[in-house]
Amino acid sequence: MPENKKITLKEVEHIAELARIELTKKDQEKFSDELSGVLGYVEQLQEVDTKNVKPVSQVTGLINVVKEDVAEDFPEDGREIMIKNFPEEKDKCIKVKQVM
Amino acid sequence: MKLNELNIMQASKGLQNGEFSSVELTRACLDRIKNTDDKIKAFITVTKNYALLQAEKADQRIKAGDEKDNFLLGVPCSIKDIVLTKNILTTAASKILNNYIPPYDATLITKLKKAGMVMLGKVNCDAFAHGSSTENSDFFTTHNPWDLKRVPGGSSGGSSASVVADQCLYSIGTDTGGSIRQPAAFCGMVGLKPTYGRVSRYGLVAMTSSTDCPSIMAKNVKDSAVILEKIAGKDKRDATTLNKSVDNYANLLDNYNIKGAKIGVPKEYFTKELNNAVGDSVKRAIKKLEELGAEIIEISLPHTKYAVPAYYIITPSEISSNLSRFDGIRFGYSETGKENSEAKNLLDIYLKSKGEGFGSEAKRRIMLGTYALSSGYYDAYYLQAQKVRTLIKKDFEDAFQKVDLIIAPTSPTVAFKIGEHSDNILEMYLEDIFLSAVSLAGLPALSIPCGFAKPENGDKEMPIGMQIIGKPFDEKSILGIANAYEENANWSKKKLSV
Repeated sequence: MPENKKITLKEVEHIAELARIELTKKDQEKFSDELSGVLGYVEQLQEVDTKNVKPVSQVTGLINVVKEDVAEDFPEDGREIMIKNFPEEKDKCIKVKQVM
Repeated sequence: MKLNELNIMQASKGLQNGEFSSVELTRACLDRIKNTDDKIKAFITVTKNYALLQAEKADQRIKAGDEKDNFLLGVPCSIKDIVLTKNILTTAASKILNNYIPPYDATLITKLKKAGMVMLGKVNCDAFAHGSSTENSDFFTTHNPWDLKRVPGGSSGGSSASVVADQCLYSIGTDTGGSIRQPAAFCGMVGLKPTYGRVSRYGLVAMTSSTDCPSIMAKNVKDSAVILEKIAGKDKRDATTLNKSVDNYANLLDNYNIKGAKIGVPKEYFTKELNNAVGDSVKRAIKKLEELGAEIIEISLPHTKYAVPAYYIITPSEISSNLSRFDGIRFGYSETGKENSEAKNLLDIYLKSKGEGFGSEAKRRIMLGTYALSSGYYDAYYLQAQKVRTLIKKDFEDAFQKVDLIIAPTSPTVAFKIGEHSDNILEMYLEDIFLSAVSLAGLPALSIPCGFAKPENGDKEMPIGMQIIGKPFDEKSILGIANAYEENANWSKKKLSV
């Protein structure tokens, strides 16, 4: 059970890094307070006895929905729109900074 | 009566009888938008030329005949800007998608186009549907047409404001944790959230995939029945849709027999959080249903108070996963190619695109979800919340052994003032206390006007909503009883002026 603690600035920094979001110092301080507040509030979930209770996985009870593994054609005009949305494009491909 | 003030059934009759054309009806709506939207601010994008083109096509189809029962043909609507519309700007009211042009239509749009819809434009909401007031929109706040100092509710506040202000005849929004029902209550109209899996989610900007429901905002019950029939059904592109028969809901309304209907009233929904005037109105409406022949039974849904805390773990968790796709690489706001960019590598592109592109609430929810799912906390937060969700669902299953429908207030208060809750995150989250449980259980529910009250800090009468909750896939009983109530207590006749 997590103790009802304050989310420190260091933890905020760590979460932001996991989420790949750059935060300003001001934002970090704000989120430290706010996340602590929300986590304190949801703490009451711990008082519910959930022994032998299964978690919800699909609310209407569907199990293993599968479909045929076949490629569908995407319309040419849709493809053009997609390419127009690229922040940077070269020869109809997305240009990104070096990965490795 | 002006054309834009008609409801769907009235407009369809006029169109089919040749009393006016879809182009004339569409122009009336566009004029109304032009004259009122600088005050209301419902629309992010008005698609004037596109709407008139669709109206012309609809007029041709009407002239050709054979579509008398297609009530949506030629009828103008607004669409929440979280639903993808091919080749038309779709922003989710967020900065990070402020330039996004979808390459395909959402399934519900494909279906409505086939029916001959006329789309007037895309309407505002809280960014990514995160909120209860539209104050979280990255662009602007929509105003409640009953009192411009107040919020229209949210997240589908552009939908509710545009319909009640007669800028359009109906709207499609989404309800993830109350985002149709609460704005419907705040603006005094009918808001219908179908059962999870009844309407395809394909083409929505995903928020919480396990509770997102495309939903309906309409001027009355019959109109919402007509729309549901058009957008419901199994979709191969959404594996969570079910192969359940879709009824002719509008025809079934007249056959519904309220006599002997068992209505449950959960005691947990009439607590100290509930404003007196709102509670009194809902109780009077329940009394009315009893007079009409329904049997009222007090029930208990013991895990109600855990719904909001469970919701605010499950929802941010799913959001942190769904919103990870907005990374500045393929589309949307990006650090890529920016002048004077300090980004040196790929990681910098992610960090800066997300850091600048996301608004406060999106960041807050991504952070909360990332934390709840992170190593060491998953069992205590996410898993426990999903177990509590099972208990919340079971509460309803047990209740529905004894009753056919459940009635509760939609919101604890009438529409609050712009800025009233925006400094306090928890206060805003508690707006959902009567809404979250239904979403977590995947049940269908409809909010219908049941009165008006003057808030303590205001001088104008504001609408009150009542929520009718049904068994999974039993939208027809909800619509039946809602229609019976509406016929006997016509609150929607009260008109506003903007």
